[in-house]
Amino acid sequence: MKEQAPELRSIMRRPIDCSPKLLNKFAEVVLANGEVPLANLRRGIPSAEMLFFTLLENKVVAVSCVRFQNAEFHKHLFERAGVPKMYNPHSVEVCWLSVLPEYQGIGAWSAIYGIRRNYMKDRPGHAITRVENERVADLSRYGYEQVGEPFYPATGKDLIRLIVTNHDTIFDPAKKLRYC
Amino acid sequence: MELKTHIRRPQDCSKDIIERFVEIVLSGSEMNEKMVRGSIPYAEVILLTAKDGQLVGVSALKFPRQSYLKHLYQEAGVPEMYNPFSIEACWLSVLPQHRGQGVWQNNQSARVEYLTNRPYHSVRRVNNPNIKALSKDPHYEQAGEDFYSDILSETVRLMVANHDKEFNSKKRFLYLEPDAKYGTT
Repeated sequence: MKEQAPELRSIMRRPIDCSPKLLNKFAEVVLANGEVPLANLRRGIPSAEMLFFTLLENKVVAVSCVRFQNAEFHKHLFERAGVPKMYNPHSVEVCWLSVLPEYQGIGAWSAIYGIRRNYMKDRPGHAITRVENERVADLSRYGYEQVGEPFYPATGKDLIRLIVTNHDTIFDPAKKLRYC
Repeated sequence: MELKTHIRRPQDCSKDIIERFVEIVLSGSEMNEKMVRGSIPYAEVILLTAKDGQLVGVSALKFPRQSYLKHLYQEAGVPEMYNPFSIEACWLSVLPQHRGQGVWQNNQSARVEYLTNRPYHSVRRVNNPNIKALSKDPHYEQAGEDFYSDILSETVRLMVANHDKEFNSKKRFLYLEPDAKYGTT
């Protein structure tokens, strides 16, 4: 008899709707890949707009988030990349994408991308990736494009690239979130 | 006299602004300080109304717990109106010595402009002496009937704006120009 592969399922929750246990699990999965300071994570999670979780047989194996970062830092990113006119205050940062190392390569990344894309629809988003991380060098198949040039941010030592999705070349202040 | 309302995300506010925000919220209501402080990081935005450069009125927009939101619509007798996209307009407070000078309206106008057509709601205590005036707010309509909430330990009135009579699960937030043509997705 053919063995059935365990099924991945994804859920999304606002931080306020998460139990402390689920929030801890979120942080644990992000920290498993070791690139985010714990203090930043603890401070940032409550202000996230939405948290995404991918589960395999009820075990959280991947997470991601969309959030509004500090506006000054957000502006700084677009300025340092050399594209200040693309700065869009409505753009959410897509961040803290992390798949537990032992569950990488089973489709968890795609699963979390799928639920996040369905939530975001056509809303503008952006992310930063480390240039030395070759796995995320080209995310065009996920709808992202690099803007400007790689740069060193004021707060870090890594050379990073800024990638965006659903961004206008020049910010249009007439556009807003509408319910329809 | 110049009134101006600034809209800020909590993460963009200095500690001083947050302290002043809390002070003004507590000056005008019976809110629990610990609860207000603990909830601020979860707010989408806070609205700060300044009169001649001095902060005199505030409010906030935040998504409450979904279980609490469902409770409100069920208890009001309109469970079909429960909308998970509805944000709560809350913590509206104007310093007593600055009331009656348009601060409230200025704060409210900024909120309406910010939210465009997004659904939102507000919970009003029925024994609030200003309940009649509050209920005349043209942006809102009452959802269901007044009810006693065990969670709030108060008789309250649920007011909603931009709400469908029945939640339409096909609707989402889209990023559009004001006159964009769209259909449900």
